[in-house]
This record gives sequence, C-alpha cells and structure tokens, in this order.
Amino acid sequence: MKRLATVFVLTALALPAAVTAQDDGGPSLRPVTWERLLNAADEPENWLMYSGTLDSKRYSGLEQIHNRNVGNLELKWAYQIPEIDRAETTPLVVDGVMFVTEAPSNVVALDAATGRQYWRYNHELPDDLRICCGRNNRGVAILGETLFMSTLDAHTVAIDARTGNLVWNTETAPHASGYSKTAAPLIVKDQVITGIAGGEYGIRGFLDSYDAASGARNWRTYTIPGPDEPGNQTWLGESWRTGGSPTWITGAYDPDLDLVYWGTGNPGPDWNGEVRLGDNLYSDSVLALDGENGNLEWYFQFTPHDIHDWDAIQVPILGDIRYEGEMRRVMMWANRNAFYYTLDRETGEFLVGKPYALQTWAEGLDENGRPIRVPNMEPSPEGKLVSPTIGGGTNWWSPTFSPRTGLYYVNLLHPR
Amino acid sequence: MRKVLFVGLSQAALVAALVLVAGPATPARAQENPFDTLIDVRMGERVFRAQCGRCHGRDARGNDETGAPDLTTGQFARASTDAGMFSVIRDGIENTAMIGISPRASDQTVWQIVSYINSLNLDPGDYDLPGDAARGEQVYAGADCSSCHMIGGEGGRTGPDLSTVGSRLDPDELASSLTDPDAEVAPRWWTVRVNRADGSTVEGLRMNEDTFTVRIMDSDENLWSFMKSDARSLERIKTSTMPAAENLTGSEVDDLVAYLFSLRRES
Ligand code: HEC
Ligand code: HEC
Repeated sequence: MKRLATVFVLTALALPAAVTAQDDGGPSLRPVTWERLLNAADEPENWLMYSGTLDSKRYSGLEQIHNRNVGNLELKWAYQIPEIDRAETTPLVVDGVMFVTEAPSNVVALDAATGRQYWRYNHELPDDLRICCGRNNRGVAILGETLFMSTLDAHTVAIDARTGNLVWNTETAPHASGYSKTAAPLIVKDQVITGIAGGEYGIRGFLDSYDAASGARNWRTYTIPGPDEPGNQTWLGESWRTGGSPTWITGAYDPDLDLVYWGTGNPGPDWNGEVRLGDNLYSDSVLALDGENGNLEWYFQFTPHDIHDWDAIQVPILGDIRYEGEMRRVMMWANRNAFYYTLDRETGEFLVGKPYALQTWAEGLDENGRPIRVPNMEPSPEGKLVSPTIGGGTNWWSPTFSPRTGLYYVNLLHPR
Repeated sequence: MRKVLFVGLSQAALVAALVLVAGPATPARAQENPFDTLIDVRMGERVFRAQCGRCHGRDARGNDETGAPDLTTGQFARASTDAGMFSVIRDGIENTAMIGISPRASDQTVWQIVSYINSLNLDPGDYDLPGDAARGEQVYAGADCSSCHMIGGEGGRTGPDLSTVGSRLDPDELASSLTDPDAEVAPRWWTVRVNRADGSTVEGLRMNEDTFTVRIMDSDENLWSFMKSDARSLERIKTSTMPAAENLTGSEVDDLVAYLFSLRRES
C-alpha cells in the first residue's frame, strides 16, 4: 500500500493547445448556487460535486480529448500530495480552482491551470482515531462559497472556498465509539447530506442532513431500524445496536422525485453471522429517503444477512432508459456481491439482475431480486473458497454511464 | 496501464482486508509526564533551541519555509495528548520533515521538551487585563473590522481569520497589531502588484508564491494566479493593508484586546 501511495501524484494532462478555464489568470470562482448544481451537466468544464451531477452519471461532456488524440497528451503539471497515505479522492473543479482532499482530513485549493496552491486547510485530529482501512478522505461538496468535508474524527466541517478559513465544525458522532467519516457530502438544496463510516467497530449506521449555513442537524435516519420500527426483528437480540450498516460513499439525488439515494455497508461483525441471525436490514442495501425529512420511502437489500463484507457502497447511477418498450426512471448498480442490478428508482421495483463478475455464492436471483444462495458457503475455520472475494466484484470505485453509448462502465475484479 | 491500475486496486482491497484483520495499531507508550517542574521547562527550552529551533524557530512560533508548525498555540494536529507529543518528538512523523530527536536523547529530555512546549500555550488566567471583553466585542462590531476579518465564518477575507487569535497572540502583541499594523507583516499579507504584459495591473494580498508563479486575492476577494514569466514586472509591498486604530481611544483598544484575547478554541 505504501508503495502505491508513494507514486501517487495528482496529474493534469492536457493537449498542447488546450484552453484553460481562465485565460487571463482570473478572476475566478463564482458562487455555486443550487441552480448551478441542478444543472451541473451544462458546465462540463467544471466538476461541481463528487459524482459530477446529482444523478451520479460521472459522465464528462467534454469532447476535446478522444480516442484518436489521447496518445498526444502531455504532462502539464504535477501536484505532489505531501502526506503519504490513501489517496481515494475525487477533486472538484470550480471555475478554474481545483479542490483536492488529502489524508488524513485536509483540503487544498489549487489553480487548475498550473497546479499551484492557493490555500490549505489542515484539520486537527485527536490521537485516538479508530479507522479500519487507512487514513482517507474522498472529497468535498460545495454550495455558495463554502466547502463541506467529512473528517476522520467524525466531524463535518464547513470551509470558506476562497481562503480555507473554518466556517463551522460540527461533531457528527463520537469518534472514540468507533465512528469516522471519509465520504464527500452531497448538497440537496440548502442541506449537506453526509454519511458515516465505522462498520468494523460496532457502530449503528445513519445518514444525516445538516443546515449548510449553520451546521445544525436537520434530520438523522438510522440505517438499522430501532426496536419499535419495522425491520428491527431482522437482527438477533440486541445485535442491531452494533450492526454497522455504514454509509461511506456519496449517494445521488433525483430533484423530480425529491428522493435521496444512498448505499449502506456491511452488517457487523463482518464474517461472523451467527451472532446477528436474520436479514439484517438495512445493511448492504440502497435506501431512498424523502429529500425534505429523511423518511425512508423504499429500500432494496442486495445481500440479506451478508457474511462476506459485501458493502453496497457504490455510487447509485440514475438514468432514464427504455425497458421492455417503455421509458423507465431507473437506478443502475453493479454491486460488490458480483451482481449487476437495474431498479425502478421511483418504487424500488427490481427489474434486472445478472452476475457481471465471477460469483459462486448464489444460484441466481429470484423474481424480487433476492439471491438464491448456494448452501454451505459460510466462512469457516477450515476455510471456504468463495467468489467474489471479500474485496468484491467491485468496490467503492466509481462506475459511469454514458448517455451517448447507453453503456454502464465499471471497474471489476475477476480472476483469470 | 490498465493492467497496472487493476493490480493496484486489488492490492488496495487486500491491504484493506489485512488491516481489518489486524485491527488498529495502538501506541505502546501511554503515560503521564513525570518531568513537568519549572526547571524541566527550562531544560526543555534549551534543548529545543539547540535541536528544534532551526525548523520551528527559536521561539517555537513556526516557520512557513520549512513547513514546521507553530507550537505555541496549544492546538496540535498530531499531538493532542502528552503521550502523543512524546511519540512525535521521539519518533518523528513519518514521511515529513519532522524527524525524531537524536536516539541518544533520554526519555527525560523528551518529556522536558513536552513540558516546555506545553508552557508556551497562553493561559488567559495568567493575565490581568485592563479592558472588558464584552465592550470590546461592541467596539469590534462598530469599527468595521469584520469587513476584512472573519470570526467563526462571518466577515471578510482580506485579513487573517481571528477566530482563535487569542491562542496565537498575547495581549501585548494584540495591542501592537492594532496600533502599529506595519510593525510585523507576515508574507501572506504583503501586497503583490503584478504589471502584466498588456499594460494592465492587478494587485492583491499574497496568498502563495513559488519561483515561477504567484497567487493573490484582490480587494474584491477574487482569486488570481499568474506565471511570473507572463508578467512585465512584479512589486512586493510589505506594509500592512490594515488601517492603524487611530480613532480608537486607549480604553477602546484595551477592550478590543480583551475581546480578541478571549477568542480561542474551547478545548
Ligand atoms: C527538519 C525540520 C524539523 C526539525 C529539526 C524538527 N521539526 Fe518538528 N516538525 C517539522 C515539520 C515539517 C512538522 C509538521 C509535520 C506534518 O505534520 O506535516 C513538525 C511537527 C512537529 C510537531 C507536531 C505539531 C502538531 O501540530 O501536531 C511537534 C510537536 C514537533 N514538530 C516538535 C519538534 C521538536 C520538539 C523538535 C526537536 C526535537 C522538532 N520538532 C524538530 C519539522 C521539524
Ligand atoms: C482593510 C482591512 C482591515 C481592516 C478594516 C482591519 N484589519 Fe486587522 N488586519 C488586516 C490585515 C491585512 C492584517 C495582517 C497584516 C498585519 O499584520 O497587519 C491584519 C491583522 C490584524 C491582527 C493580527 C492578526 C494575526 O493573526 O496576526 C489583528 C488582531 C487585527 N488585524 C485586528 C483588527 C481589528 C480589531 C480591526 C478593527 C478595529 C481590524 N483588524 C481592521 C486587515 C484589516
């Protein structure tokens, strides 16, 4: 891992004659209104949120670079991340300024044309962090002139986009209890929607909304139902209290339906399923929440009672496609469990599900999309070979959908 | 290329798995500082000046050029406990210029440096200030300070953020920064005037500069970035853009100082 990180430098490649966002060196950085975020696809020269647009297509409308000239690209600049650790960030580009987050919970503002720094915000962290998988941050969100970032000590911070000054700093959950935060928040109107990590440390997952101006919490929706709520009986005894189901990858938003879509991670403990018998709702699921109050509108669980750490921590891609002769509003999802799914995103109805990578754990999916398990595939002291691995058919790596080709693209792990 | 990336990703996934199995690393040293008397502080200071001053400054106020942080604020990114600071000084911080102290130094010496660094944090209780913080807050609001300064995310961007200025500057320094702004102007707050090839001029506060480029913020808070090779000439004006508090009375300055000194991070 260390070797990998050492060679990671953020590079900007450009054609020799590329035009930069600001030809005369500025002035730059217009306020990013909700209107601009809604229409982010109309600004292909910018990248205004984690997945580019609210529907998370991660598709660039830029046409200057294509398969016939990609070989002519040359290095324009390199910015070296000073802190050597995980680098899993998606930078934002706003009117010629690039915002890059770095380990452990820092952000720099760079001139996108030269890679040179405007300012840096270093977040102070306590010594007693509890993090499973490296010191990591996945990016910021922007609204107006303020950036929003998750931090490893499970705070959400607002940072002035022009200076790096701290605007507010809200504790989301106590880090000493195993909570941490790595995912880029998602802006929905005037709300900062943000998830939580710590599924390996006995947390109870949730998704939060904070007021962008003040940092006060608007709502919290737990990803594991409490004792009086439907679904709680899918956890043996008290196991729901520490059942994980974190929310560590940024979701998507449909402004017409006013629904926030978010994936949830593995139930905990990861591989030891006997202590939490049942389906373990809503782990390894996608949740559709009311954009106003966070109420659960529908859910779809990809892997009931997961015992292989197959988090449903993927970017939900929203698209309108023709399905059996009619246009449908769908969600496309290549899951860590090695199945690809198309769901109706208005209702959560299961439309299509097929393996896209080698899998040996399910005979297939039933008509509701529930896996039909191959018996005796549980982890055991003797060992049990299962595909996909605990790494999954895919992982948090961003997929994309091209409206031009109608194809969905995904990074996958598939043994040769 | 694609192959390499593929392998890299699977390695990352594997490492994630291994780390998971191994659990978090817990530091072995976790104890109270046994050497924290006044004489320990003084001995710590001597070693600090000799071994750490070249990067952190002899007064421990930090140095932009070496990237060594100010150690007088009581806020530490890597050392929020005494034991944490001990490890930072003993072992250094991996992959940064912060190298550990010479292995010949005893644990006692390291603890004494910890005591010295802790002693630098200004304790408001040590000062008997003539001014009144609540009145100072009103003076601040009336004197248009917030057109240039932010406190808690509110205010302008053409001066330093004052949200925690009380843990950075002592009352004397605060008073002199009000009455004599030009006395000490950090390079971040110099004015850079860029005379461009087309004859136009852009002027602003110096946000960042290297051999080939410079970035500034103009008085309308716009960000600019220049290649020096594109500019006809470049001027640096090292006086402060902050007006001296000339029309404030002595007691208003005292009140302002009391207010500003109260601005510190609650710990
Ligand atoms: C070669 C330059 C250099 C020397 C010599 C040096 N430091 Fe540092 N120090 C740094 C840098 C750079 C950092 C910031 C590292 C980082 O976090 O990126 C740092 C960080 C620290 C920190 C952590 C600050 C924080 O905010 O958590 C402490 C404490 C510290 N140094 C103490 C010392 C002491 C005590 C000595 C002498 C024994 C010393 N340093 C010598 C460069 C130096
Ligand atoms: C025109 C903009 C402007 C105004 C108005 C202004 N300042 Fe400043 N101030 C600055 C700049 C620029 C600096 C940094 C340069 C320097 O040290 O003088 C500064 C520095 C300071 C500092 C030192 C901060 C540090 O971190 O070193 C303090 C304290 C301060 N100002 C307080 C005030 C107060 C109180 C007022 C209102 C009475 C005020 N300022 C009005 C621009 C301004």
